[in-house]
Amino acid sequence: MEAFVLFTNQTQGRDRLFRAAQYACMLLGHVLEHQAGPGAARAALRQLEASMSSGRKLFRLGNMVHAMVAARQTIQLPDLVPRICLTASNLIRALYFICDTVLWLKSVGLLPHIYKWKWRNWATKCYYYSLLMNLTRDLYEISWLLEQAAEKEKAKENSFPSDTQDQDLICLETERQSQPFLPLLYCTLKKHPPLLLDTTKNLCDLSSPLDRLGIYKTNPGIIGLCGLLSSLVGILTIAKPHLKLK
Amino acid sequence: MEAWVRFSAQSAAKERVFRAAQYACTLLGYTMQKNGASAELLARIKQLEAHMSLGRKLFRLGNSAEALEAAKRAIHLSDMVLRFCITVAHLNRAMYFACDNILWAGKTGLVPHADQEKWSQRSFRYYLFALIMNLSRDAYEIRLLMEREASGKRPKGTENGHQAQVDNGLQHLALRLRIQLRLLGHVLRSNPPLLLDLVKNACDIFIPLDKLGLYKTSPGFVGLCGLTSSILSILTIVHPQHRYRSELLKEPKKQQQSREDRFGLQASSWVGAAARKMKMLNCRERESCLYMRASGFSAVGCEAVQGETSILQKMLQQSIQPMNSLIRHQRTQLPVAAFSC
Repeated sequence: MEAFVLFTNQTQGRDRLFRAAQYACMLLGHVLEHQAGPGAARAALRQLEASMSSGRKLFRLGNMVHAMVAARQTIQLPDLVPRICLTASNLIRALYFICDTVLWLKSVGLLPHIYKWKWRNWATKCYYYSLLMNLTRDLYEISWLLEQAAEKEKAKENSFPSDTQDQDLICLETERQSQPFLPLLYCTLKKHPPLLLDTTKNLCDLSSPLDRLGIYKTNPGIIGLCGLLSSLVGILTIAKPHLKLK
Repeated sequence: MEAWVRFSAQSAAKERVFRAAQYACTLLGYTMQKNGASAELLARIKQLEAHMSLGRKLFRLGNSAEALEAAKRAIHLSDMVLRFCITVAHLNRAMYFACDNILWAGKTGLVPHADQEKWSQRSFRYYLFALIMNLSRDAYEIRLLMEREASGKRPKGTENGHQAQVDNGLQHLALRLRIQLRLLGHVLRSNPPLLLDLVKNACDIFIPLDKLGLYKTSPGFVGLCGLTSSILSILTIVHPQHRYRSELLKEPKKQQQSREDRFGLQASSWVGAAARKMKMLNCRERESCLYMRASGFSAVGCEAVQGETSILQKMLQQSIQPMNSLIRHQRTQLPVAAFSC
């Protein structure tokens, strides 16, 4: 219980839990939609999802400051590509939070005359571009790790014969014999769990804006599942900070 | 901006901000109604208030666990009266949050047949009991401090005793009352955290008294009390030195001193080790090394918890200076936030 209390004392921890619950409702609602029977359960799930979404919107007020502070920090990173990608991602996220605030003001009736669909579209686009920047950074990190692995393998080849039981070198052997890219990628990501988790989270998060913008239409079930997965990864990185990609 | 980020990272702090906003809406709505504002504007303010209330109810899900944990900790207090008051207060708070969760489930349609009025009354009753316990604790602390003050001043007060013998009964009573009030004023002035806690609880108690119909006031007064107590709570979060901790719960000075020395030594040894290692590492390894050191600092910070965090914060800030100058010397640009905890 103490661990739960420590986790929920952080705003982000609580937000991730409710996000997971929100997307679980979306997934469950989609699963129940095709089943016959009274719609009371489906209606309750929809209402619960809407309530969680609006509550989370309220508690996101002020997060644009978080994004600006994060941008100020990432602009000092030593490597060029992560610096540009993460700074751009944080600035675009700040714009997303501004759009989100405007949508919240509309939902509580303080700004009744704004066009909701227009602001929602801008918010989705900002979220989408921010995710693309994060994925670009992840891809850069992955390619850097693959290069490192290749260099290590070359160095080992020059100093030792190729017969060995070592797990690392089995992976490197895979590369030497020009095996498919995926096993090599798997070996690399297995050694760097934070990068794997971050890439998974960003890929899962991409499903919702792709659907909303009409780029790749799916269904609420897929969006719910992806959202739930990315929330669980988020919860894991908050509960275990060493798994968060720096 | 960093201060807002650190403040809003705590869920309790953010919840207080929205509580202040909610009660500000209540106060504003009442004021505007008295001044003849339009029905549409009043409806919007009420809608905003209801939205904040529901949002806060959502975010309070799971607070019962926190209250039960606090009650579990309080049960080990040495002083019997404090142990009773604080434990019972936390248990009542846990029950209040449980009723609040049922109210939320009812409002969102999960439990559509829940009697909103009944559960609302129950939740306010538990809230009232918790506040009464908090005020009893404050009264007990004030009494102890007044006794300590009075016993400290008694050797100097012989002329007061002499005077009391001469006057008649009523004047004697008035004089004693004046002395007690002066003593109370002195105790509260020299203990600002206790005064803040007392004022906060006193403001809060008007809310359940009004909702339960025990002492009806106006929505404006309830809004003002709620807003005041929320601002005082925010103040105690932003400035933890103003959060009240009982005199009876404070560590003796010697123990405090040795803890400071221990952490001071540890912090300086970490800085030294980090500086030596940095010279040998490349850029990426430097970043992860410093992050590990920062994690180490934050682990120490978490250990100190409710006690002397302000002392630790000072020590950590002092250790950041040498690290930053080392970084500048090595021409590495690392985010300063890597050190913050």
